[in-house]
Amino acid sequence: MPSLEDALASHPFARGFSPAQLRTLTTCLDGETTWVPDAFLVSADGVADHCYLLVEGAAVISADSPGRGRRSIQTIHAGDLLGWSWLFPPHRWAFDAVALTPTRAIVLDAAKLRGAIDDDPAFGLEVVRRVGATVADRLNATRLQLLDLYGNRG
Amino acid sequence: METAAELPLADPMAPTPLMVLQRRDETHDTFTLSLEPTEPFAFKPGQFNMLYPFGIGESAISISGDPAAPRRLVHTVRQVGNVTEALARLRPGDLVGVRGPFGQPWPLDQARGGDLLFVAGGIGLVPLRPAILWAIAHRESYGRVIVLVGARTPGDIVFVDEVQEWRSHFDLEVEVTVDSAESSWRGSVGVVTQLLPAVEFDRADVTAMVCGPEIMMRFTAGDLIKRGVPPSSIHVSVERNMKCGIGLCGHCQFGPYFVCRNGPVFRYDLVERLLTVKEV
Amino acid sequence: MTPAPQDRVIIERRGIDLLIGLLRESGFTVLGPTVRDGAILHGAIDSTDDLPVGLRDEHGPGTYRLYERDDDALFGYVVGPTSPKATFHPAEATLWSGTADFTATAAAAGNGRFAFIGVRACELAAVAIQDRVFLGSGPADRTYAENRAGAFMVAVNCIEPGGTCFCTSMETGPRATSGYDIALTEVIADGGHHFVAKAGTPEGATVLAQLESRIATEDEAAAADRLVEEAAGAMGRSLDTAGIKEMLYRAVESPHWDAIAERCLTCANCTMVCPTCFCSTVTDSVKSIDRRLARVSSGEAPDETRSRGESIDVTDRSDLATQAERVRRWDSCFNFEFSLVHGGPHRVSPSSRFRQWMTHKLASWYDQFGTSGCVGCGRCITWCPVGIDITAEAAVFWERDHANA
Repeated sequence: MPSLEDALASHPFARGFSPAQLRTLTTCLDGETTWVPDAFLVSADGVADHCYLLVEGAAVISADSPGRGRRSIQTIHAGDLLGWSWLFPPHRWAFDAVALTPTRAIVLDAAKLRGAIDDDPAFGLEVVRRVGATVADRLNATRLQLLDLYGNRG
Repeated sequence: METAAELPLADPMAPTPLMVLQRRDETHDTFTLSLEPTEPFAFKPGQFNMLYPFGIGESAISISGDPAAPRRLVHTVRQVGNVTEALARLRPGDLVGVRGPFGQPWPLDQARGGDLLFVAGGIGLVPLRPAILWAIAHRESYGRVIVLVGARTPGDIVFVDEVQEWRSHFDLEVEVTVDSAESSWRGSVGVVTQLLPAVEFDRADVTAMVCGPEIMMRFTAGDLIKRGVPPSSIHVSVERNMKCGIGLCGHCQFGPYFVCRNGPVFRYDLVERLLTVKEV
Repeated sequence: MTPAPQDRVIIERRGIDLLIGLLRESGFTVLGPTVRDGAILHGAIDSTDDLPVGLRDEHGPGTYRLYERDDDALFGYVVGPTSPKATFHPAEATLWSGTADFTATAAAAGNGRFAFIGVRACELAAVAIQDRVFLGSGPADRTYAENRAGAFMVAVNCIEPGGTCFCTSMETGPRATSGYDIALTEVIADGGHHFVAKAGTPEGATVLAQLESRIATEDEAAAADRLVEEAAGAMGRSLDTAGIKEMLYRAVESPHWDAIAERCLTCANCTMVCPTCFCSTVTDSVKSIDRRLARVSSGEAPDETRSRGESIDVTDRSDLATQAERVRRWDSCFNFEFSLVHGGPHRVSPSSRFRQWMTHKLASWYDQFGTSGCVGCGRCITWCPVGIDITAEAAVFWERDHANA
């Protein structure tokens, strides 16, 4: 049965870290969490004090607006980073994330992780690079959704 | 003076009347017409016909039927203008003019022995359907067969029942995603390129057939190329204005190519540059 | 003595009148340059009197006028805004018509065969180019094939280049080398006026043999050749075609297209006067035919109402047939809706439309049909209202390409 440290080491987020950096990352580990379908992983406006790395299942980023109901924005899967609000002030989640299937994630303590980033710039660069790549990927995907390419302009 | 006359069979600009047998709504703006050809209508997946509702005009419409069932000529049409709206008003028993089949097909023969990856965006599933049906009917000729479908919302998935049926095959990998959905949708939400990381295929021996809006095809091809798929293994279907379908009116030119004769299916390495130049 | 088919012969003006007469008697519709509306336009030729005798045309960018020569040359000009294209690939043609059950109504009978008097070498080259487009690989165009069949071409070798000509660059003239039945070189010298004629086909030889002629002397033949050679050396414009396809493909994102577009009106004149442009649009329309009137006018059935002195009740719509018509008309890549797709045109900017025209004409045509699409006739330069010169723009692209290399 792989340990939590092994699971973290083999998660795509950790790929490419040096052994020393991986150790630093491991010091921020704060266990793992599971959610049943329809459970909220995070809620909009909630305090973003943990960084979640999905290892199993799928969740959907969504938003609820009065009168329009809950609308799904984007699905994330095992191997994905849940979000980035834990890294940037004011450290509050922007959207809801709701489990679609039984979902499990590795949990990292956000305050410890932010501290490690401040203490070790080289480590911090690697973390921020990966977060940046996730943001870029999600933004490009969102832009394509925004274009409403399949919409009928006829 | 009116006289009935037989036109020479070879006149490529004269419409052949075929009767509508069946009409079915697919989504709120897309419908399928099933026509009865006078003799078996042989076509290759990816080809199109020029359909002519009497007196209105012509539109290039992809053939969406099963190439192994040439006694029914099936087209799926999206209502975007006055010709397609006239086609939408046709009912069983009505006649519609047909010219075709035209165009280069999906490279299903050359793809034998390797993996197949179909990526459909929106109405792009229509010209891919005959190819998918062919692959299913000749399953033993191919390695993995993967079908990725993107649609605007769950209600806009074309051939939704059939896509679900494909999903039930043990030897097909079928994934569907939508751009936006109510929370009652339990499937994937996001652009179709987001489905690529989770599917496995042999990048050195895969034929990717991509069809949808041009931006979607470019992003999909780009992601596949980043993954190591050679551009010559990727095929896209391009759309341009057509007045004749036979390379004589000049409207469908795309660089040096006539989309009606050299396409609409193109090998991506041959058109990659053209697709990045504005207004070419 | 009867000249052999390969002989060059001398004929006089009356010989050309006889030639026109013979062609008309054989059932040809004889067309050639005529003067109309201050320009030289193709029209019916009954005799040499219908030709622009003693006239010369001045060509320049956006400039054209006719003026009088000081001789009676029959062919002392070059080209007008029309070309054989308007005959073989007419500006408007009905492709199909039929009733609501798709029963086709018979097409009008063909116009028979056409003969052209006074075609220039560049025009013959343009006809050969359009033959490749309409009769080459792929479905043949029926209208073109019917109009083109059996055409008889009497060519004239140019001895004075026009102001915008560059046929030598395109290797299409000034001498006609193929595609003609008879070729003439007009020689006015030493107080004399004759034509050195040569057959290009057995049909041409047969007709030539019926004209009063004598075999040309070596000096006479040489004199005619010299005139044509001098014309070849006197072209005012040139276009460097070596590698032009690749060069224009490289220039696809050049800012120079925008510079040209500042002047281009997208008026489509160039495509209308160009003898090789072939783009068209197809329009479907429908009308109601009153079958009673059709029957009466065709004499199919006696009309008792007419014989009783009553008129047909036009509010009675019980005997109407709906008839649809499919008509093809010339179109131009400069037209805004030419590239309409998904509710809007794909080529919106004038820059992209000019680029499409020039790149197609000088580059893509090679990939599509194996030759250049341009014959160097200069019409697009003459009839551009703002005087855009395709040879000058090509030179700019060449210069920029060399600078980038």
